[in-house]
Amino acid sequence: MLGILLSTSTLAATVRLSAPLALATMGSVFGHKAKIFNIGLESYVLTSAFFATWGSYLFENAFMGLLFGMASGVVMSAIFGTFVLHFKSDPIVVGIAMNLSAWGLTSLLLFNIFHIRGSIMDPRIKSFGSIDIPLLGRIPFVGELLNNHNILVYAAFAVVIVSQIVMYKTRFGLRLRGVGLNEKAIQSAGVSVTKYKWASLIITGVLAGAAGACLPLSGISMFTENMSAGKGFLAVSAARIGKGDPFKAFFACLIFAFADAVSVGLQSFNIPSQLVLMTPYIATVVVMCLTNLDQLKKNAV
Amino acid sequence: MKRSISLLLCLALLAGVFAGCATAPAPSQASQAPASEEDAAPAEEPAAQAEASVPTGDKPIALLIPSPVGDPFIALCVKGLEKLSAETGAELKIIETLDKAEYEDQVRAMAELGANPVYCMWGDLSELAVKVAPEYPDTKFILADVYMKTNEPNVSSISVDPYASSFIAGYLAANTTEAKKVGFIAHADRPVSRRYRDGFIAGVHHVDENIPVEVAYVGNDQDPVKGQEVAKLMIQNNGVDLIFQSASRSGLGVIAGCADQGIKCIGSDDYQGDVDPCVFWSALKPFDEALYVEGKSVFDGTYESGDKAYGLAQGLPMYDQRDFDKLPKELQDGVLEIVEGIKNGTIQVTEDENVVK
Repeated sequence: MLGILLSTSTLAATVRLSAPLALATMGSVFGHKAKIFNIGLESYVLTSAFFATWGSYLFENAFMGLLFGMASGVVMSAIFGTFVLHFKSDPIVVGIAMNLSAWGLTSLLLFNIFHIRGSIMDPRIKSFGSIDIPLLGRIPFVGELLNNHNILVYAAFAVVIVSQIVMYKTRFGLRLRGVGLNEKAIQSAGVSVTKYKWASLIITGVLAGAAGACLPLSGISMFTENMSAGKGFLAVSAARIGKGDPFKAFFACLIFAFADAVSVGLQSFNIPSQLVLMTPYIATVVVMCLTNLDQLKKNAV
Repeated sequence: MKRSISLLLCLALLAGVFAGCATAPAPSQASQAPASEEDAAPAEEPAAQAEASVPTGDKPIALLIPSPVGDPFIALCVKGLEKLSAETGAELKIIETLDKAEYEDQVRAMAELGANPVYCMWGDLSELAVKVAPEYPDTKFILADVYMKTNEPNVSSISVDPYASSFIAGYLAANTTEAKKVGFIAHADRPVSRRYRDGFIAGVHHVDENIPVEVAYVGNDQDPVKGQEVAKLMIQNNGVDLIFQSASRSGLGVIAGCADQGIKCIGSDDYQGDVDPCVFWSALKPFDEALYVEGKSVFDGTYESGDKAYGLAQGLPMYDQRDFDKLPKELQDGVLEIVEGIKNGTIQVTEDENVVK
């Protein structure tokens, strides 16, 4: 049993499934540190999944798809930022409004552009191919685990590392964290709060847009309505579990992705599938509880 | 500054509203355009609600569905009803009731509108239709894809069993697999999916008792990304070299996963050989025909209420001729033999429900 649960194929699936989550989570991490609660991430992922499909369809090129996806993420951020930062709307209300309208918007665009309902599959939509890294493939266990993924998976790992560096080793990161910690203090130090909040929003848009592009362009080459299937929400919770720390948040992502992958392997045993398919959600709740345990202790007097 | 920005945003919103109005009627004028879903789209909720008060000359046909039109199975049903609509001249109204709270209102609205027959898809809508039916004795309610006993004189429920077509798929799978291991992936462990599963397993075991059938569920009917992973994992963990999918939109991902791993796949419900070349066979659930025949009886005046099962006995197709023509001769004969056997009862497709494991 353990053989299948920890088989290289399950772990490789974990790596693949964690890529879109990790990208979106890194986006959310920057928002979290700048104290912008962006529940609208789900809408970013869904719309950019659509635009990535469209871009790939127009140019028959996966990279153009990625570019379209990231651009649409930035546009979503611009909408969110305009309402939240300039009109001082409640971010939760704006986020929910965006999540609700994203499904309708993508369906409408799907019909107006492709004249089709529900899902679009077309040979013109090109996915990223898997990359065979020569040296990595020869290492026995790690090779099977990490080799032959598409470029977005490797990009996601790189983004996690870069996020950690930017957050803790650069002036930008320091000021961004300052904005989240104490707006007044950082303002008196001569830093424009709005500018940093906007910067964090743009980063969120780019990364969540790339996360959305992962969905249609990592093999299936298609878009279906509501295909984000809660990945944005998971990313928001992963960022909160990690308290905005990129590495910790990425670890949460890996747990979610592993729970997702393992729920397939578990079905090979005589366990009712309904029970098995609960694992990703149970994992979310358990991780949430565990990470908040120490906080409970602190609050108790 | 702020005021001008908000003014601009308002203008943009207004422009969006008007743009929405402008695009809505366009598709109905261009209904000859390629995709079959094209015709279905103009009859969306808002349009229907707006027209509910306007009496239309001819009585429309109404189809109430709790899932968007993009679902492959729904698309199949729409195909059947479009045929009926084209033949009778009655307009086809498709109502996407995505919110449970509006189910009853929508059923009533369609009955009030004079739509006849009113098709209700799946259990939740059907239960409401049975409740509402006595108030509209002149309207015929057809409950689609449910196994429901009804006593109302104007309600009939129709079902198409996928047992027979899944059995044939199982027969072909057992004859095609080289690894002697096949898989089945559905979206959820529900009675509807179990019928595909049990028919398939019975078909596989009809050929060879020793071929194991791996069963997995995606857990979501509209997540092709997950569907693809489930297929890949099943192939890599269990070593299957053929997968029969009945997972709705997630199934499109399953097909992509099979194509990626270079194994064969069997589609379901509608002809899916056009999705990817790896789909060499599709186990049809010919609901379009069943809906068409049932609706036709309303227009012919031969409608009968009650619980009806459509299938092989009524001459509905179990496979697509395009797939059949590509098979080698001995498998073609085998398929025809099985169809004959199921028809005259020598082959039992409805095995014990607990046949799995």
